[in-house]
Amino acid sequence: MKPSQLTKRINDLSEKLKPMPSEGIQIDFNSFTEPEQLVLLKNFELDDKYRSRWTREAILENKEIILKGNHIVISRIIELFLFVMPRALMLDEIEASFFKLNVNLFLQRWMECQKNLEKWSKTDREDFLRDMKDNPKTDKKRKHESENDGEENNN
Amino acid sequence: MKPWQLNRKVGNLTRELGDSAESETRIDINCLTEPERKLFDRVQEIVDKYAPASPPQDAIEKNADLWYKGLEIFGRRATELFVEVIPASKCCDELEAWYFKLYFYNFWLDWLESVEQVRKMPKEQREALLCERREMGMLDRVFRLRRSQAETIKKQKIAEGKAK
Repeated sequence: MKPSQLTKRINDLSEKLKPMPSEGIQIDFNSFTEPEQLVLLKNFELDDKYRSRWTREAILENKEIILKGNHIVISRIIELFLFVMPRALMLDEIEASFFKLNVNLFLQRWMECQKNLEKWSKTDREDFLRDMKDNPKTDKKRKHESENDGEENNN
Repeated sequence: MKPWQLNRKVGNLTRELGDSAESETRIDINCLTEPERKLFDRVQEIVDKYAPASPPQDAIEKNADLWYKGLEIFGRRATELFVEVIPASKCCDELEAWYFKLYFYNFWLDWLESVEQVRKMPKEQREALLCERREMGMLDRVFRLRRSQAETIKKQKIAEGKAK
């Protein structure tokens, strides 16, 4: 099959697949181990109990179960992403190693940024968000690349 | 509860939970749309037809559109899950979620740039790099790279200009 034919056929498929967006994507619950399922079920139970009525006391009382639940979900999502993407993009060994390296760098940088953001005052956060909404910068040609790590407002 | 007490309790839970590596993480097929599921059913039919062997090259080529589209769907859905769930699980507010997206977008650009460089390499150089990384056990290891600051880049450009 020629590349042009393949592209056309993939585009035809894309057209057929387009009109029905799903309501979100989830992990198959059966892919969690039994002890993990118990932690998650406990979290669901708490969520049902306190839905939109979460109090500071309720959070503190169940802190470790909430944190562990989040930890399980985050590790499984990262694992899935690192497993699926190199295969979906048909990367070879060296390209896949660059992929893994870049994902880890991204997560490290984002966490550093989170730490910087914690130092911002409430007013700075609100001003920044307002500016972002009022003047969204479009920079399609990436002419203004900069180091933007949340340090700017660290007064 | 003090932070060390919380750490100990979470640590105890981790030990009780054991190793999660024994079960692989899968996307819930019921979340896919009907046309997406039909596409995967069609791919599965082809795989089943030749099982337990893998489908031959000509069968894959004949149905290459299904294969590529299927891979694209998996990639897109895994990305969607990653981008939605990570900031939500970390209880990010609007600003933190915005930075997450910004960093994620930059991750793709950084990775594309590295892959572009790797793909430009002559085959021999690429093989040598692969051998070297494999011997050093670097293919499965990650390390910290300091991102160049704008000032450093300026200095480098000036130095390059002078050298010419």
